[in-house]
Amino acid sequence: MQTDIEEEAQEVRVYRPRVNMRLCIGCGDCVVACPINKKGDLSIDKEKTILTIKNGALSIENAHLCDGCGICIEACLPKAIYIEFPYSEAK
Amino acid sequence: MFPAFVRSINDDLQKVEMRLLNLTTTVNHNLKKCQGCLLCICVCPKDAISRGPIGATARGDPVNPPLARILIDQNKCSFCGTCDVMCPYGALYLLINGEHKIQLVDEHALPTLKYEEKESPRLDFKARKYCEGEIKVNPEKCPGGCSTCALVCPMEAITIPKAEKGWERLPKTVVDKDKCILCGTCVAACPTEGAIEMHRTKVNYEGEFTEPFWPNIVKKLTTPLKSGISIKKQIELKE
Repeated sequence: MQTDIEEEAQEVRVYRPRVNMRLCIGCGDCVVACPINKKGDLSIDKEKTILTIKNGALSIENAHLCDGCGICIEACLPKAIYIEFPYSEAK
Repeated sequence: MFPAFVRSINDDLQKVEMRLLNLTTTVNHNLKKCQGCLLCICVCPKDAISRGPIGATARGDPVNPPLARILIDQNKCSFCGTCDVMCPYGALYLLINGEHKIQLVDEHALPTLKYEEKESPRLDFKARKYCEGEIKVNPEKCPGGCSTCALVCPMEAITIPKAEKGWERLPKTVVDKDKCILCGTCVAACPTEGAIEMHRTKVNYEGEFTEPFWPNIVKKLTTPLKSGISIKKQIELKE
């Protein structure tokens, strides 16, 4: 269920999660750990999923939804995920 | 161009500077003291502060360490010092030519806050509590397992109980209302929509103030807040 308030509530975030493709081993630990991926009733909504494994490596979509909790950084064994801060659209 | 605006972030200080002739005004943000409560976003009259990665800053990022919980926009900031007065942890401070001086307080635009100081084992300084209100956790909305609220709470008011016996069913999170100072760190950090709700009902202050500057700030502060939705948007929508 999505209301107008929720749709408008996307703020411009000043950071983005990034992945170092050289280090990523595609284990999927971060996908399971991310609390946005399994929001609310534990169902998976593709439009609200940030981390997915594609072709054996992590791909980051909908990066503007990231809440910056840092669980993925902690879960990642090869330390492939990091947060770019401050991030600017102009770059 | 004059005046010149500069922002710099190093290991423990974020600095926003305005230089005009021989006058240097800086807003300093102490990264070690800041807990990420985002009360400054609620009170900023110019909407100059943005939310940073709060949980990731608390956990620490080994690849990109200079993370800050808030980002100050040097072009929007008006160097008024409202955030300096209101910050419960004293992380933001305004310096004019190296002196701590706030014109809004000197001219009685802002009243004196009546606060009580509270200690916490996590902080090496005292936090100020000047709000009264309620905080509520909705366990049915919490997906569980991220524990960001317990990690970031500076007063250690939120705890996640651990079951001693395997068959025990305990609540996912427990809030100690005596320790809570209603800063809003948990609401800001929680990624799940509506899992934590907070409503500051009253702000304690005394002394004279100017209309409508201070009543606007109180109105913004007393907006009921939900986690997982942008705080800026919640405040704007309620107005």
